[in-house]
Amino acid sequence: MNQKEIKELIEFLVEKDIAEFELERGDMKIHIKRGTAAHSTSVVQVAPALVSGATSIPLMPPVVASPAPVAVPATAAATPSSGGPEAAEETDLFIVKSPIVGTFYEAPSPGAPPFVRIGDGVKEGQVLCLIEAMKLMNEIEAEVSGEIAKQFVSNNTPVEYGTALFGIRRK
Amino acid sequence: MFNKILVANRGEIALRIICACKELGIRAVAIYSEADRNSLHVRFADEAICIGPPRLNESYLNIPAVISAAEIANVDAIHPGYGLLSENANFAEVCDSCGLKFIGPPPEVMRLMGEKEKARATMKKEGVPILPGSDGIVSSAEEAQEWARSVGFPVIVKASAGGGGRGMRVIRGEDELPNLFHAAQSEAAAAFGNGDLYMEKFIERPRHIEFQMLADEHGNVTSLGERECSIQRRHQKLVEEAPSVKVTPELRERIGGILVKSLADLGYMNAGTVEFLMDEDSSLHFIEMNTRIQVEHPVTEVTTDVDLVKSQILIAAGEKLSSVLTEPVYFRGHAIECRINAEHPERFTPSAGKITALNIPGGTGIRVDTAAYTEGVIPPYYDSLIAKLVARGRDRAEAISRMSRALEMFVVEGIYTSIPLHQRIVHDDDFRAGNFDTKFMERFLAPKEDAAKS
Repeated sequence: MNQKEIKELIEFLVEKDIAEFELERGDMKIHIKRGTAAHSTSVVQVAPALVSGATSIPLMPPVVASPAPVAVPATAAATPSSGGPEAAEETDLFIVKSPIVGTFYEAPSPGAPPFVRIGDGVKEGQVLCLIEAMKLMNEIEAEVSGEIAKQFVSNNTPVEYGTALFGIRRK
Repeated sequence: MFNKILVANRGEIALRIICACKELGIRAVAIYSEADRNSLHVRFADEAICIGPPRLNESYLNIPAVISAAEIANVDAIHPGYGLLSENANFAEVCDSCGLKFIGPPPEVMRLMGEKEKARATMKKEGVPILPGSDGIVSSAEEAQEWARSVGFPVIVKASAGGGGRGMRVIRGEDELPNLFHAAQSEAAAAFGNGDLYMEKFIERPRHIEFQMLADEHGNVTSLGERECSIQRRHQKLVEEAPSVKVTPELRERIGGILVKSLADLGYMNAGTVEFLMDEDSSLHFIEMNTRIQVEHPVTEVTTDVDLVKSQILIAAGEKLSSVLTEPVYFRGHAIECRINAEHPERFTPSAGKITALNIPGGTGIRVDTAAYTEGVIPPYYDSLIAKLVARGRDRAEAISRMSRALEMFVVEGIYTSIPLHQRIVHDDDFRAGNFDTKFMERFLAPKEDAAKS
């Protein structure tokens, strides 16, 4: 799906006031979630095509057109890295962002149960996930206590500095 | 050939490297700090990864972040550009151990050339003319006195452990030596934790001449001639040109030949620049070697038709010089480059902010390397270079007239730039006559200050 098509799709969703839309076609997946009228942000998450285990993160600044083949057009309000944090209905959601570049793992080891699941209560300092960088596993800790409301990245995906990982609903 | 290269830099040089990658059909991966999210090098890369907050230490100089980005993007090689990590031998070693090809010389050679004293000693052994120096640390004022007498005043003492002008004193006579020597020692000890000093003959009015070298990974080395970079302010180059009006074909060939042999002996690889000071009788003295591509590489490119950055990539991919440079290097015409900085043209204060209007000059013989664009914001965290304006002509006079014309048509609004300063320089009689040395800018700026005082 090229940039023009994505733009037309977003315009269509806005026109029809559709809140959420998901499409899977081949190894391309689009998930669009819109905020309330007050915030009017639209976010596009596109899973990059996985080629022999290595993924790339094509990222675009909000102002200009995006490079082929996979685009993440973002509005001025959204962080271009991945979607979610601007979702307006959760205004008191604390967004846990990646402090480093690396690969996100949701469990301590392959096959093991994930550190946290949606709905789990977490305490400040609790390990939420691992990010592997340069062969070292870094534990990412919750900066606040609360409940895991969202997980923005899937297991074994590359993340960059500032990528949103989890949304914690503070209690 | 590489499939993907990570560009470990920002701004105009990152864009320059991306251009070379595109022309070679190689995917370019950009890294950026949060402050550079909307920059041109991110826009034109095939992939881009945010590696940290604005501060250099947390982003572009953060080796784990850079390497981690290289790993998740699955690149084959890293081009470090200039500045930043380009002369960091530790970084080059980390690249090696991670199976990432570092586009530059081997770490040991980088390290050797990075230590000024060792570099001088090495080049001296190779027969490269060097500035008479103390051959090691000068431990006392008496020793300094003796050495200075044998070499002749003026001399300069420099800190062995660091630079940037600290622990440095010019000594013009025996009487003032003891005081200045001890002052330099104290300053060096305070600045670097090490008061060791070495000494060099001091040239009052030197010209800065540097030679561009290219070496493949099979022992072949060639010289691409010299550049003159005497127009500097506080050791920052403002205007560069190729060739130098003071370098004769004989000198060019002789020094070029010595350097080719020296670099081959050293096992140098990839691009590098050897810097000299030329004294009043036109002899060259080695001062240091920069083991990377330089800011002013375009003036060599436009007079030799050699794409230096592409050459760097091809060399790192294993190509021999004979296939990189398909014909003997020739020098044609004259080129001048002005480094356009985002700073006030008189106060030299940095001018960060948004560019509201931009007209980049074009036309015959003009090349502009820039990452600036309209509505682009120049962030305050990095150096102030925003564009390199290069004018080429069949001779120096034509190059100057083209530069003058292009400066006039270079419009940048929203921030201050050094364009007005550059215009004044290219209209200066001494500049036009080729009559200058590294003190040119001091003299050029001084009368104005005196006039302001009176």
